[in-house]
Amino acid sequence: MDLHASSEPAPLATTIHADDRGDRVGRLRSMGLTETQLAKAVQASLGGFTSTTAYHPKSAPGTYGYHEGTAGLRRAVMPDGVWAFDENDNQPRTYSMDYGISIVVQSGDENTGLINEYEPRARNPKGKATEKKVLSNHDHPVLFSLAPEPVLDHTGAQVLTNWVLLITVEQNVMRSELSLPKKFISGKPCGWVERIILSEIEIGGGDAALGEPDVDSGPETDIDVAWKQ
Amino acid sequence: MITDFTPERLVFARSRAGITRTALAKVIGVSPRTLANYEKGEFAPSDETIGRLALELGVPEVFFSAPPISEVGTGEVHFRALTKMSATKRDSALASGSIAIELSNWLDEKLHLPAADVPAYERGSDDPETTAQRLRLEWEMGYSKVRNVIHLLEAHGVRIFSLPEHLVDVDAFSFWWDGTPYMLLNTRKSPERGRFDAAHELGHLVMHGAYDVPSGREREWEANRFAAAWLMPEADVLASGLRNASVERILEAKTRWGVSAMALTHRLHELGVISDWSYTSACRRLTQLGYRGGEPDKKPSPRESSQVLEKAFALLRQHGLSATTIARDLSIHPEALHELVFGLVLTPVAGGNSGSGRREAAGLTVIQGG
Repeated sequence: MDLHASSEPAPLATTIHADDRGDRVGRLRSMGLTETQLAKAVQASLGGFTSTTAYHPKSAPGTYGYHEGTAGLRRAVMPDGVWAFDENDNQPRTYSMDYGISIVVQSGDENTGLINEYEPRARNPKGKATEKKVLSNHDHPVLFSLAPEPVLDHTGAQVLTNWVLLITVEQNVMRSELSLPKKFISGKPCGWVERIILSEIEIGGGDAALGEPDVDSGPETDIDVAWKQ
Repeated sequence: MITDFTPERLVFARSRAGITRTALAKVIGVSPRTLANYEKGEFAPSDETIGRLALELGVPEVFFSAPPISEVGTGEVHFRALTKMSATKRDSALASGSIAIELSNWLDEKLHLPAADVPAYERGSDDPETTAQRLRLEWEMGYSKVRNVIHLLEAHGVRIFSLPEHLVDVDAFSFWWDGTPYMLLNTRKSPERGRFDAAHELGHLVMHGAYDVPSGREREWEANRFAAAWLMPEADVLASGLRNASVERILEAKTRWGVSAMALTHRLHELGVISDWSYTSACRRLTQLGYRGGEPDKKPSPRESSQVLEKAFALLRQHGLSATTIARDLSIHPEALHELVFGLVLTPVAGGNSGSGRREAAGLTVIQGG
């Protein structure tokens, strides 16, 4: 794993939406998404992450988390009727032609979901298909607010902006963000144009070894109770 | 002056108080036949008699003039200890369930609460172990520890309340009402046993649904197996390195799943992780150490409380609604409300005086489990 070694300083031009910053809800709405849908995807990823025991290979939590996160995202958005998914070039994406966006789930590194001087990266290098898609973001007219109509390539196919849902578990906290990269360095998307930081989920355990039992391990449940208008 | 008299409410209040008709008739100074006539609605009691009934039955006088209450029947409820419970106790517990429904409906009118998301599987579709795995999968829990059983159940729409103190020997009970799952828990037990009780009731809700009652020994055994499998998933227990674990190791390990030492020992034996001999000797040793009836740990586990009720009461307070107001709307004494949330709400629930009555509560103050 190359964590800090590969960390690039965060680009100054990144637009960030977070709990206390920007308009996360409004931005997601403009992409045909809700916080709840993404929270469900992240929760599903957590389910995959915790589906492992001490007998599983060490890489299992990350792998299961990625698989379940992808499935969870689709479960959350498909009922809306404007989303589809495919797996061209071995890249399981979930996309909406109506909103002109595509999302892939990736395991993020320790900077995922944090606003600091470093920018987050995927944990593992990605292939050519991802590179091509990320680099197509670079010149996408949407980035320059110049795309009132769907953007088509020379074959007439619609060109989507390619977002990454980065999810990571670090020290008993699950963090995630939906971000738009425009660069691709060392096999990893980077150069974030926009980052939508999602709420953290506190967890414990993850470490299947008994060692020192943690009475508070296990995901924390936060229940919404609201006044009816 | 009571303008309307609802006979069903008299029957209800008497059941709730756990008093026979003869005994009540004697205390309020009427014949059992007269009381029977009140209950049948043949004729209404005088205002003075209503005052005496209210005093004896621990309800405000207006209780008798409100519309009939939704009564939970024995056929709808999973009672853990039904076989050893007297009919009086059972009826009293059921009455608490009815008031819980009224409170829950009242809260629903004012607040957005989590919607019911508890599956009721077809009868006999799976064995309890598989059902527990299936529910963990559906709720995307993986093998993680259930950090807080009450919070998790509440997040899935289960309405959780507390059993009154005089019903402490009723471990817990659960039922479906209008598509909503309800649970009344004994909040005076050890935190570990409280968690297991709640998981046991969850087992009834998902396996025995709204139709497969009354309970019997077999149903209880199934709910226990569900609770053990749901709290301590087989794959996780097998991978936990507890083969032939000593009692000391079991005491250390039980916090991993938030269960009692006895429950873990039983589970280890059930899964073949410890031998018959180790199981027997561990049970003996745990009994000697005082772990049969409770968890005498140096550092006791934290007690679980209700997140929904905590947040609901905080919001109600913000909007100037006190426990007294709720109680008045439900035509009950604040004390009855207090009983329903006892041990579940840890912050003060403001309240005032309840009006007249022998069982007048001096407002709801700090509510904590014992």
